[in-house]
Amino acid sequence: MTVVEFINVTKSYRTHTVLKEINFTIKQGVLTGIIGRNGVGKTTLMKLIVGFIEETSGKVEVFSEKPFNNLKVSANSILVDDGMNFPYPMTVTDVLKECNRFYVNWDAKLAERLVNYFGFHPDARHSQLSKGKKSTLNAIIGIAARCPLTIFDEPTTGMDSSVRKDFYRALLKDYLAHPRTILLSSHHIEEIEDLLEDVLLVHEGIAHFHGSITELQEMFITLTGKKEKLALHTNGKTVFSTNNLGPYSEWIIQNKCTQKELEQMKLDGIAIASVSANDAYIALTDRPKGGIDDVFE
Amino acid sequence: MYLNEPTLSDIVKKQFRFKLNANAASFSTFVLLQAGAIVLSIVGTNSSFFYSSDESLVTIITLSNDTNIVIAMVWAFVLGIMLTTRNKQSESFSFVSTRLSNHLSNFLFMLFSSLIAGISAVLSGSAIKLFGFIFHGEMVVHSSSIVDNPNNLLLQLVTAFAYILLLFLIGYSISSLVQTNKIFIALFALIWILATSMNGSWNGPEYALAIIKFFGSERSILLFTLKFIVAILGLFVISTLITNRSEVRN
Amino acid sequence: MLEVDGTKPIYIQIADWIETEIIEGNLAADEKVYSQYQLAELFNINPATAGKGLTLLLEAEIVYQRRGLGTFVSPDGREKLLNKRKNETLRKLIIELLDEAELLGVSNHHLLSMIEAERVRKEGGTK
Repeated sequence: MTVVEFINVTKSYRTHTVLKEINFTIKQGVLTGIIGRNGVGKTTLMKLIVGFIEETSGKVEVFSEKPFNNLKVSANSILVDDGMNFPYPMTVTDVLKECNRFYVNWDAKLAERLVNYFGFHPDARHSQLSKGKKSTLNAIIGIAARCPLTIFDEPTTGMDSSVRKDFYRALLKDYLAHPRTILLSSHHIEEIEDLLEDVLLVHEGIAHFHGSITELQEMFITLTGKKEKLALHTNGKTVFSTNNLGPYSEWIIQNKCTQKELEQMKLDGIAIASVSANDAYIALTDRPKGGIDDVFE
Repeated sequence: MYLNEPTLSDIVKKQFRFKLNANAASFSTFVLLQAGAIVLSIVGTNSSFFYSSDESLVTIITLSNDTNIVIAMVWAFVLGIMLTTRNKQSESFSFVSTRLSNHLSNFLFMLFSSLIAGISAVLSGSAIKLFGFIFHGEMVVHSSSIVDNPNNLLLQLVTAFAYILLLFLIGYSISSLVQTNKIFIALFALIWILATSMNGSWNGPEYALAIIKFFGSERSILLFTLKFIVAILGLFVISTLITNRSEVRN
Repeated sequence: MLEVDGTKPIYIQIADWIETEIIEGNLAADEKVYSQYQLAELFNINPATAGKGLTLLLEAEIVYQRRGLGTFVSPDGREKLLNKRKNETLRKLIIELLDEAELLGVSNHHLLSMIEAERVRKEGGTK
């Protein structure tokens, strides 16, 4: 069953267009990572889904309904981001109480245990928490609300690394126990790639890639060896990224070589390795053969 | 997949409760302002008459709760503005909300606040009288109280409530307009400058009284009520319509 | 499958891990294998990815599924794995060994005696 559907969705602001006729669908129960460079429209996309903003053209459907000004969508979805604020005088306890009234699936016990675990004082005011603590509390709310559509936009901003780890672990455990549709964005793909089933790569306003994380990881291979040998073996193939490591070079090409080609490369001292999701993402979003090094040439 | 299908009234009720909690501080501000107004009012307005015929001096001290009501109106105006700021709006959208449910719960909140503010502003009149006896100790020539004129008190309550609610909605509408386009800030600033340059200085209470005159000149209670309902609903509908497509947390 | 020198995709690592469990005898024939959810929890990964690892083993008939009950080790699962490792892993290592020997100009005879010497040393060390 489809939970989110975008059909030719464009979102423009006065000065620029962020999303350009983007198309994709998110199926129920899938944990999808939304990745892309800064300012490509990941946040815009998420805000369209929960109805905070309205599409300029095209069709956005969530639970088969238009989300903008839609009570059903609002009641069954939650967007956790750093814009999630609560009134100045409200304490951590107050905020959790309000959540309990608004979200029917709210797990008060889990929320309380998480708040204790992460060391919140129940009477601390939300507005006076540090950035990292605010992110942590918002993330707890996102987990405990158990909304059929749960969205986290850069949820770990300001969290220290041990809290990040704990949060992702908590999210996974709760997802296993209560499967639901989750969208998760992060700058650090390597941090979330293990958690993801699918990846939606937003680039230049469109869905540049949408598929399983393993598909993304197997899309490319890394060849490491001497530059001349690499050039010889990759003749006629598109090189997506090059990186110099001392005397050796690391080139990323599409994983479309025959077994024979691979064996010959190995004979020539070229090491072949799989590509991390992050490198694959960089390869997909870089112009071929263009990197920071080329700026200095 | 089980989807929750809440009714609008259910969410409006929840948001109303949330708004009461969120704005608890504004009620304490109100109490402080009212206490200040009571102190000011106890001093009263002195007017003395010297009668040459029998060489007697008559001093009339007028005590009234006008200040309390005017201050309640100013409070309502400011709170009305604050309810539609971007910040407040995004706070509502941290929970389940649509623009309509947000406006309706704000309206309920304003109704409730006007009622509380109206009652306390009117009843502060009794407090002023009580303190008046203690401090001035003069003879009371005229007083309308709940004992000798219950209808009058009720009328005071209704009118105070109506004026406070009206000011709430004026503030609310101005703020909503500003939300849609910042040009309105310049527009309202211009109106302000024109208004203050006309009589030299800003005189809030005077404008409040001007509004009172517009509605108060109505002799028929029915027409008075009708005028108010139309004005209040008109302002509310306008605010709702102009912000119904506004983008939040953006 | 792609020959990888570097890090392997997680689902392959998962399959490898279960294979090792079977080879080492921690999972006997007809014993229940971890579900994709247990694997997800254990390795902190997405259950779909864990499921892909199990699918690899299913396709190789190392495990079998019983409807509604879960996944179990095939009666001949361990044998299959041992053969597979002999044919694939060991063969791969031998090819590498031969390549290296050729590069260094080590004769076949010399290589065999080196292997024998290493075996003696290892057995001596374990005694």
